[in-house]
Amino acid sequence: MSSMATQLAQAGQALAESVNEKQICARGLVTRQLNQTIFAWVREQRGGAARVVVSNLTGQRYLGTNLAGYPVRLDLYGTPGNDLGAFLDGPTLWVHGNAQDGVGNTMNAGRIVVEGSAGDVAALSARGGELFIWGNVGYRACLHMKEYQGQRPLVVVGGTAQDFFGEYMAGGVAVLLGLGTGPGSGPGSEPTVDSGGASSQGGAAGAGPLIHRIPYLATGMHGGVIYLRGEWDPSVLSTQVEAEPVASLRAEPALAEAVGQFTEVFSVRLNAVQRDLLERGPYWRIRPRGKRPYARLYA
Amino acid sequence: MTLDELRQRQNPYGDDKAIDACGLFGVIDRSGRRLNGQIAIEAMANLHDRGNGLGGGFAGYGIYPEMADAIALHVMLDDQASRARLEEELQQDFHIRLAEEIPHRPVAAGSSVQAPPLLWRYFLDPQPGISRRPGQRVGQGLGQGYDQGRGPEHGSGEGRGHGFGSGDGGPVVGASAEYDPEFADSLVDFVMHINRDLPGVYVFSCARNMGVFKGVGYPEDIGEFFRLDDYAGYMWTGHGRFPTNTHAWWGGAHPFSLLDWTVVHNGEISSYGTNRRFLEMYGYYCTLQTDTEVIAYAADLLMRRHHLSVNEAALVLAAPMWKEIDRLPATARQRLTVLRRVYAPLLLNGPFTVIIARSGELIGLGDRVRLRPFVAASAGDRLYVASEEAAIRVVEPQLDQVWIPRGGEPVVGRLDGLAQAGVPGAVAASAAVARAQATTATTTTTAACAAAWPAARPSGRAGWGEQEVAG
Repeated sequence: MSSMATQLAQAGQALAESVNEKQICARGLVTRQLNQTIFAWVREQRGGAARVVVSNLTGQRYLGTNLAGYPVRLDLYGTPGNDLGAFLDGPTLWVHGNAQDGVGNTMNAGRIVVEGSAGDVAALSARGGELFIWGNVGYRACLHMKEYQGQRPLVVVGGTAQDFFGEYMAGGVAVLLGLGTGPGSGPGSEPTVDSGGASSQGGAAGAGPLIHRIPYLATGMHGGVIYLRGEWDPSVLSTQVEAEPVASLRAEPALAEAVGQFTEVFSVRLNAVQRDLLERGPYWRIRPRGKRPYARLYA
Repeated sequence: MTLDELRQRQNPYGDDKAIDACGLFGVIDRSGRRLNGQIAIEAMANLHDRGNGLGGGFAGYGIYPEMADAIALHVMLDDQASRARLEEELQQDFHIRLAEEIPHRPVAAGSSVQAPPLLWRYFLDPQPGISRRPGQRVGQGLGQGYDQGRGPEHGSGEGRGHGFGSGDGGPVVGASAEYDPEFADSLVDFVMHINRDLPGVYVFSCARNMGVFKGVGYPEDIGEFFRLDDYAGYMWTGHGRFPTNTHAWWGGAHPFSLLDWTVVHNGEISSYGTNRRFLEMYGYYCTLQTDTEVIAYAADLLMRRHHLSVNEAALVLAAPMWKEIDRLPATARQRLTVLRRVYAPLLLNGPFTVIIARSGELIGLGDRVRLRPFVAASAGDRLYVASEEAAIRVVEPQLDQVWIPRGGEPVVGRLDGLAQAGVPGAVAASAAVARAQATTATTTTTAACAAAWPAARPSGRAGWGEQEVAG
């Protein structure tokens, strides 16, 4: 090990030791009790780095919402409830399983990682922060996501999305990687994914099975950018948005950054085939046509 | 206290327009293994926050194995006079095998369950040949094959204060999936007659080997009140209500039922007036002051009387947009066009997720743009559907698969053995089918595979073909 790496490892070790950790079993606690319990302990840490491990979650809502500005990480086991990380402003939430509807609703800053899939309206109205989802997202993810100056939300999904992805999107970066990391659509069904070796020359060609089946994709989109990897059906797009192939990851810094972060977050889980798919693409970029694509919608 | 007064009393907050979401839960065990009613109570308790205590209810199937061949009638009554009126009516057409108050616990102080009406149940044997009203004969079709070998021999029931077999006991199913058509029609007429013409009497459910338990209160309190932990069934559905636009009263709680159909519903049906007028032409009369009622009647009309498959019924209730239909191959387009035109007044407009159940079969369906939450999961022989994954995990922590069904695509679970005998076109959530789907190529579009699982929707799917709409 190089001296540099050794130093880094030691620094990391020191950091880990300095983090205060708290275990909370959520069983039997209703939403308000649980969030108050977490908040009370986090506040006692007086701004020091802190980690809370919450186990046996059974649908308690709004986790992380009341922790604005605290440098805290929540490790969540079980099933966290709706609006996980709503209005999140700083903390890191790590879900070791599936999340329900409304993950990262209107989040402002911070990071949410979901090791399973998320439900509907993930990143609804998000205006900052990062959301990484290993599996799929449900309906209307990134609905009306937005950006302002330095605030630019990032959503990266390992699998695919259901209808209305990026509806009314006004800003930010939303990425669907099409790695088949989410569930199929019924008992025993397999998610659709590239074979890895088969030809996959871009959505319009329609050579392989559709990886992304997203009716009403980017409907009403007027800002930000969506990236897709793998087969999809461009006919779902309205005329006000346009799709172009991305030449390479290097040529698209925002995408390269998103893929890089996803790879880092899920480095332990990504297999060689998936890494290869990420490297090879093909990727597509979806953007609104011009600054006011709907100016003449009713005229 | 009359039901009208109850209605006033039970909705003191005037929050008819509050916007929130009801909670839904459903489970079927394909193998017919009976699950204690506690499973539904616990799942609904988990969804507590989705309701506001103004309605909760459950439907259990396979809960009366000792009486599997009798018609189980659950009613709510204003008073003893109403009961006398009902019993007089019943005696004209039925032999009453057992009549008793529905067993329930005393209402606890502070419980969300308050001021229940009289709640009675009757186990009825139709008397063949007895005419009830001119032109209508109840029980006419008896003996024409609706009652083949289901359930054990009759028992005398266990009397007041007891349920019928608690615990995860025996493989007793007693599914009465097929009713003689004429008998079923007369039973529908009978229920409509009671609800419309008998003051102070409302039918909760009226079918074999199933029952509806519902009222005003949080669902877990309602379940506790009705002693659901004394029952076991192979299928349960549950509902926690957050009334929008309509009254909160005992008869307005979900599930809504007709014959052995039950419906629990989250959403609102903007097309209620249109749906209702259409259904009235077929003899269905809406009396319960809630939009959900029309779904139960529509299900009966489409799937029982008009023999549509589950998938076809879904294409009526949550019809694809014309824009999507236009993109289909000619034959499929033609068939969908016919379905949409013939049954245009049965399109359910507005946001909804529903769980429709009948003996041996559980159907989950979301509106075509999926404006209400809907999660499905499988674990061994069991298929679950619910508003939130947490409600499923709380009763079955280890799930084989969890997925979010697409709008308009029915999720269907069916008892083993019923897949062949039951309605054509759809298929059970059987392990065999699941395996077939997993191991065969994606081009497998036998009617069986295509119909039951989401691939059946036209939207954006290359393989959508005419064979998926049964002819």
